[in-house]
Amino acid sequence: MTRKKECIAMLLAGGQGSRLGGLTMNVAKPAVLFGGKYRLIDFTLSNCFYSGIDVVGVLTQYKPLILNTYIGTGAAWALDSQDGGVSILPPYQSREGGKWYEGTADAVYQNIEFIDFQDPEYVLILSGDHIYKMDYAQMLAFHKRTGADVTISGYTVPWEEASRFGLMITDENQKITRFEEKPKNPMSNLASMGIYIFTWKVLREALLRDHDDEASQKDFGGNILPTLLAEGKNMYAYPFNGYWKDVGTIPSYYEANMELLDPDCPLQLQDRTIPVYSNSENTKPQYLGPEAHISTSLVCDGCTILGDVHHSIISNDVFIGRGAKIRDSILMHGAVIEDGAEVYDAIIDEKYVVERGRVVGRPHAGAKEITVLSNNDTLTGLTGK
Amino acid sequence: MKKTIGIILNNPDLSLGELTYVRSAITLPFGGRYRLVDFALSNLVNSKIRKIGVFASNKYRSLIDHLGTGQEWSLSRKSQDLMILQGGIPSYLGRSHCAVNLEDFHDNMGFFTHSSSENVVICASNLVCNLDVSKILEYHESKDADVTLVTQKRLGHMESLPDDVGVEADESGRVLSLSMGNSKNLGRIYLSVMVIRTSLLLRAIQQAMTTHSYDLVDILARLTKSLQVYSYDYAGYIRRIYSLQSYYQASMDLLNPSVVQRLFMSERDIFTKIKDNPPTQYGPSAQVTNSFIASGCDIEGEVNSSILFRESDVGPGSVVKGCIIMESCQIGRDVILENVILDRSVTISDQVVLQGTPGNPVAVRKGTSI
Repeated sequence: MTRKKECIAMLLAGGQGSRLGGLTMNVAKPAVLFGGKYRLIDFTLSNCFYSGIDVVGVLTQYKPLILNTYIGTGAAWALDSQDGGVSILPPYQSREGGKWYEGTADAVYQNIEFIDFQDPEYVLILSGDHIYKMDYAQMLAFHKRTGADVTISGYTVPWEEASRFGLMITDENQKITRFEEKPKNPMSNLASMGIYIFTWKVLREALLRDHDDEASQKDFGGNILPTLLAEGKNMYAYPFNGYWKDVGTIPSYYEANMELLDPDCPLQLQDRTIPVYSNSENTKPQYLGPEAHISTSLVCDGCTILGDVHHSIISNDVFIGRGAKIRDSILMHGAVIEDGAEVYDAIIDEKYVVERGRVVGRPHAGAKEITVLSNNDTLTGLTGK
Repeated sequence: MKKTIGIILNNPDLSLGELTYVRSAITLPFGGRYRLVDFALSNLVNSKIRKIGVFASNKYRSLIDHLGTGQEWSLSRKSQDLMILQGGIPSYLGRSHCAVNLEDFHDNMGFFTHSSSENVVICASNLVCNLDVSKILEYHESKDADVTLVTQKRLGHMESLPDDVGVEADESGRVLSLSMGNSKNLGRIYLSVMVIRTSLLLRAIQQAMTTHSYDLVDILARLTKSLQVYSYDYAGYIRRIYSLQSYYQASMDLLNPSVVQRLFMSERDIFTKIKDNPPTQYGPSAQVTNSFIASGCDIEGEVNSSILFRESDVGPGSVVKGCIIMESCQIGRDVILENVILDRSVTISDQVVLQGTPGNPVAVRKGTSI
């Protein structure tokens, strides 16, 4: 029998991320590469370790192979403890049959047994595709201090983006008085980050009732939270002021990557006191040739750079030939830029080869006109528009 | 392939000045992220040898730390694939070191007697090479040899070391004689890697304890007539690290892409302890050419013909040329370093100038602030 845990995490990682086009053709959104060596899920898993949460159930569904292999035992995030660890939870068969996860709430509902087995006091619901550093222990302390049934992590977003989010209105004590999922006319710009702490008893009961409600979409934002608020449960918004990004589209993905090259970027990947862990490969150091030029860039292990690179992010094992020119671009694992080729404002997907002398993209095209080149034929030339 | 165990030797007497002050040469950092032991260990693992003993010596902390449970080399803790063996005791007692010291082996008899191996591969730990050990084992079995010595044909320009063992072999590869020290006139030199039948090794250990003659190579030299000793010629890339200069030269070889390709070929990886670092960050004023650079560095200055280990920073206006900068070094602004080796965690203040020569690089001890 495992020791009782105060708080465990359920990490929703089944999303397809269809607006990321070719980047999620073969992988789930949480497995998309970011900042050279990272995958999106690294941020959430690293936060779990940093916050002392050592039981993490990862709910997978869409294209899980790379994600499952990548997560492994969770050792890369120091989550392979003796009485905890990472459990990958795909949909499964029971006596009554089996079915896909139909919504975020249904995914957790189908794993009630897993949570009951851990017997926690609180359950933290996380998404595997956000970029941020956060100490969930502080949010849990807030949840206990306010005596809440539900705590939603809130982030102030620009008004023009507000309607993409679940929005909250709170009183002076951060108690939520109104919650609306993606309203057309935003009544607030305090957005739900999709990070919730529930007192397990409250959530368990809500999930059971929601499951029986045939009209329900089985979604946290759309169903569970509005229902609980309407029932008069104690719900609080935990204000988060750090860096947080939900990279749902190609332009926002590109912009978030480019922000890493800004020395004032608040994410601070280089900050060695709060590291972001990842499942690092065994790859030799990078080699820069006698005629290489490189500035304002991030470069990962195993690369060979013989050409000219400026303001770009270069993942593992990329080859950049003599006289090649790379500007304002993201090159994924194993991409090959042959001699003399030029790449401007582009995302070059894993193992894609830009042939000798070819020119890709347009200088200073900007995030909205990004060129994406992928080995998935149908998507070659897809732009961010 | 017959069941084989691997042994990695440790030479506690091998000194590289400041660089062996805190560690023995077996864990000398090399090539941006590796340590010397990684080459021998990866070569054994890549040949599917799953029982490996590594000799520790008096300065063992970095060895234990580096090897951990062995999982980075796919060695399992549960089945005790990797054992740290105690060694170097004769050297403490003031006795001179010999290349393969059977007294050290005797102190770890259980390791040899518990495994039912047919052969033992014995590797020195100061070799930088990517050696296909399985080929050597095939050769050893095809010759039905008692001992196979890995050798290199002597070429005109080759360095000659006082400890060299010369090997004279006939056309079939059968070793006719071994000569210690004065080896210049023999056709081959021994590269400090051998395969030996386990039964023969065990007999040699027992005998050494009664005769007090502990050097296995010396014993073999006297038995070339009665034993089947063969030489296996290795013609690939190999560097022996025996001094600060040879370390510096072997490191600078990594600036030649064809050497890197032969050493880190993907079908036979060199494994090492994995550390989680962010990508290396090149600032707006960075100028980096002809260099081999690990992850987690932050480079604002000029770096040329150098090796940078993980998490080292070079400040703006600084020039680093012909240098080996080990892990976690901090180089301030407007510094000039030329032909310098900085051991780990060295801090260089703004405007400091340090210059050595390629033949005589300046080495700075671990943790120093200048």
